[in-house]
Amino acid sequence: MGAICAAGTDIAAAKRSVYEGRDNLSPLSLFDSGLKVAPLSGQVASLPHFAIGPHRTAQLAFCAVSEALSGFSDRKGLSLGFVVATTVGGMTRSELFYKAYKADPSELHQAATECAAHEPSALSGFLCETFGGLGFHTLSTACSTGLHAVGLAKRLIQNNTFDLCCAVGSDGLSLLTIRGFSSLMLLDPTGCKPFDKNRKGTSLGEGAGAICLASDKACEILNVKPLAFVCGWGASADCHHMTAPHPQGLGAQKAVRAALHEAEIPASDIGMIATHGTATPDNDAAEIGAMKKIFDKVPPFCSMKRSLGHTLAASGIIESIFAICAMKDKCVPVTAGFSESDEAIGLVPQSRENIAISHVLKNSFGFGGNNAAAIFSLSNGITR
Amino acid sequence: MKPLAILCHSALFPNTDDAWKNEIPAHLKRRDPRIWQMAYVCAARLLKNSLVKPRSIIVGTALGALDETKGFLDGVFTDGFGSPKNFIASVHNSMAGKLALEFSIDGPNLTLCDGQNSFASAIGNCDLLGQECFPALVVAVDENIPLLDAIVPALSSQCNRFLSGHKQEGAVSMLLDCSQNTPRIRSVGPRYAGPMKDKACTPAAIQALFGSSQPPARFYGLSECNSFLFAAIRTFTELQKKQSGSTIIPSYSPSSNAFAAIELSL
Repeated sequence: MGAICAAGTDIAAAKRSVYEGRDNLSPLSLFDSGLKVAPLSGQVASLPHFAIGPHRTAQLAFCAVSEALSGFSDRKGLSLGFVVATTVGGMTRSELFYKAYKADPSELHQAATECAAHEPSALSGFLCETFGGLGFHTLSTACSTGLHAVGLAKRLIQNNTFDLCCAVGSDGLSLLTIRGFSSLMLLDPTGCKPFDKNRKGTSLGEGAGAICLASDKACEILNVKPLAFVCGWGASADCHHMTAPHPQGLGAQKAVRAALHEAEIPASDIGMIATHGTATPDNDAAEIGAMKKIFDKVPPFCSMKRSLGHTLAASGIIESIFAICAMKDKCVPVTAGFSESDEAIGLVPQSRENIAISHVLKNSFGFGGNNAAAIFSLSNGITR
Repeated sequence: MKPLAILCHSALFPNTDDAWKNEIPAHLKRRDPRIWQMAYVCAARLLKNSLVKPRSIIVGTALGALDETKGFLDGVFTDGFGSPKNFIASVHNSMAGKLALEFSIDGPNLTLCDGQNSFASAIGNCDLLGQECFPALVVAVDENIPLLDAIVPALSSQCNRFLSGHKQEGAVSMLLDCSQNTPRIRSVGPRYAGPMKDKACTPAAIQALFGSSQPPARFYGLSECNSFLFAAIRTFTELQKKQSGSTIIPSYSPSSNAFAAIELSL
């Protein structure tokens, strides 16, 4: 696994910050958002010197994949594939091009390279070229993309398309997303407060995560012991509204039930929920409402959004990585930003230490009523 | 991947089909983005003749709702305010979300963005779904906008293939199932082309599908593959011809330097 985010430029540097629920948001300084006040965002303060790539999203992905594959310099002939999750892709460059083009249409000479980098799949091609990949799929389902990528990567291992398959989620902060969420009045000017009574919206972030799944054969050939297993993946659509979640979280329930079914475990076996927890009033209420329908007793849950910012397509993978780490380190992370319980939700996030967790549920939900859920376990399954 | 049966198919090409606008329901006509309307009408044409309801949706699109992305940035750069309506529609999966909403399809809802290989990638991802997700509605959709007309003349020779066929806008939809019925479809890729690039990928695509470089009875050259929708349109055309036998339809995406191939068995 590999990750780069506001909490740190690799997993070891970042996980303690996530566990302790540190607030890693800061006023946006990567570019001028044009908003009156720079929104609090989860920024990667400085990219490592070795980061390469045609745009920021690719540079972040390069860092995460480099860390994930660091133990596999010799892959002994095993095939490597990618399932790449991104919403922004090359938008950070496209924005600059379009602004220049609008100011002076003769600036078209930039068009060729900017257009090629704009496409989401340009990121996948870059990763294959850089890390010797055989093939890929490029997925874009808004904020749920990363978790879908994990599920699809699992299937690609199961059907023998690849021996190793890296689920990669990456999104750089861009003007489009900052101004877009702002236009929808979904950004909390004081920083996100997941599940808090006074929550007013989310805070965006940037980052990348990579989870390398391996077949049994690949684990044996590479002589590696899996860190955890992807035991279940579920996907659904709300069919309710393009941006608002179903009030009772019906789609979320369906995705979680599908993941539990695939994992072949009862809901009571889940020891922790790493929620989507965006801190928008509707999303948090709908998510916990859905969990109440699934669990007789909702297990300890957390949101990492204040520690990381909402990293969009990357969030499902980055937060899964820290959830897996937390499961192995026997803790439930502190939910930064939460201070006052909301009676309408009826439950509060609870951190834990020295707690035995065998299975963790991760949720991700996105625009278009798109829902994803995955279950990671310490035993049984297929992933490294 | 295992071949999947095509239960029914439909297409919509605005350049040659003025009537499609009459098929847009009133509640979608005034406010919805044109690319949503194309995806909707194409899917509605298919579902009108289908006896079964899809349980999942997979959309393949290279650039998504480009006009909405441009519209949002126009607002930001010109007036200092981007429209939330434009932003919501600008996400690549907005067409898939809209189709789920309109047709009440609450199963998996995926959007693949693999350039010219998007249709093949969408077909390939169908094979990754569980049996309970079938029938699956697959829709390939991309739009042309005037900005692209302005950009294309400035593209380098390396990149002009990237957008030169963009005028072939429209949508193609298919309803796929796990049965043994014909016609059947399967895909391979996208596979990274490495130093092969472009036309040299055709044998590689055939090899990947068949394990040999011998082409089947009919196959199309990559020289024809100049549109995001090439593979989807060619697949639709072959289905209309109803010739027996197998057809290989390769695709190549310059932006990712990757190829894919579709095999259609009639």
